[in-house]
Amino acid sequence: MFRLGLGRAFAGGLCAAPQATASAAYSMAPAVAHRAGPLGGLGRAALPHVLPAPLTGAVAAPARGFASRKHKKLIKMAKGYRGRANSVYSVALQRVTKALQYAYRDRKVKKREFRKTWIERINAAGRQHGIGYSRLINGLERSNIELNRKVLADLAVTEPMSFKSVIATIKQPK
Amino acid sequence: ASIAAWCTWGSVEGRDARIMSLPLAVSRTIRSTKPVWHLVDAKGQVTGRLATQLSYILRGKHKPTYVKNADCGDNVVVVNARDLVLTGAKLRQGRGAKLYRWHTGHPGGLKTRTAKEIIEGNGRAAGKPEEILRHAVAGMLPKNKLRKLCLKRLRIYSGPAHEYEEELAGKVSII
Repeated sequence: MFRLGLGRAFAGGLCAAPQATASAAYSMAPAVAHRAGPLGGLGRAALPHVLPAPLTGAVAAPARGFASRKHKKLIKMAKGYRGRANSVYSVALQRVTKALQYAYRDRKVKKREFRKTWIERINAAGRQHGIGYSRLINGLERSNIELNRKVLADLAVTEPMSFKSVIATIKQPK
Repeated sequence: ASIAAWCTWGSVEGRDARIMSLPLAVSRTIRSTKPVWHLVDAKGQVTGRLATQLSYILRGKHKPTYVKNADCGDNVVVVNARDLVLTGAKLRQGRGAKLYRWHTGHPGGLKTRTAKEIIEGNGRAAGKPEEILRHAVAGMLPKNKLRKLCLKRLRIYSGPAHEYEEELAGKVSII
């Protein structure tokens, strides 16, 4: 968005205030020259003798800095959040920061959760065949079966006959 | 009776292998097993010990397809709840009685009933022996959003009659 509100485009980004005032005075001068009021009187007195020639034609300068790109990126990460957190940068920043912390932590927790689920399932499946989890694992150790819990749980669900044979192997006297 | 006696989970051979390819995906796992109905005769059973097993089954923990975040439990019909046993002095009045207390939310609303009163009822209220068992099981279920769903699957009758003849179709009591 190009700011042409002062009547002229500025070359090269930020402009110091005095120039703005001068230009404003310059562009306002014809309008207020006739007035008796303070601005009219002062305006004429404040006009510098040599005014900088304003540039004609549009010279592009972003009215916002580059911060808005970063902000939009972050707000995009906050999709689906409640309230102002999905639209306002400062609130979204807090929520997204927390979300990323949780994500970091939970990538590690996920591994634990899955192992828990496998163990629960192995326990249930083992009890169907008469052995609880603790004895089952002990039996695996003794029989030198190196199948891990993930595989065992999967077997219990998808390959019940294989699971059954593993149990049978465990139950064999050594 | 042990938990093993409950494992009438059903044969596996008939199931579609494709559905089972991702056992940890909740929807597929739940779809793959329909809830089974169990019949339990509570006559002479110790309340708490029975409740332990019931809560196990109601949650579905006896199944290899158990998932924590969905109700994968079975249905249980309990009959003869009035013949449930409370050991020790629990059924007595006075010292040693088992008390059920709850607060209504209103000031001064702490209500107390003894187990005996609940079973037999007092002058004002009817007796509800089923509640003894239901209360016990409810206390043994995890206090989460699934709790209510699990309790719904538990149907308790004080006498030998029940309404689930179809589902139970000549099953023998497991316990």
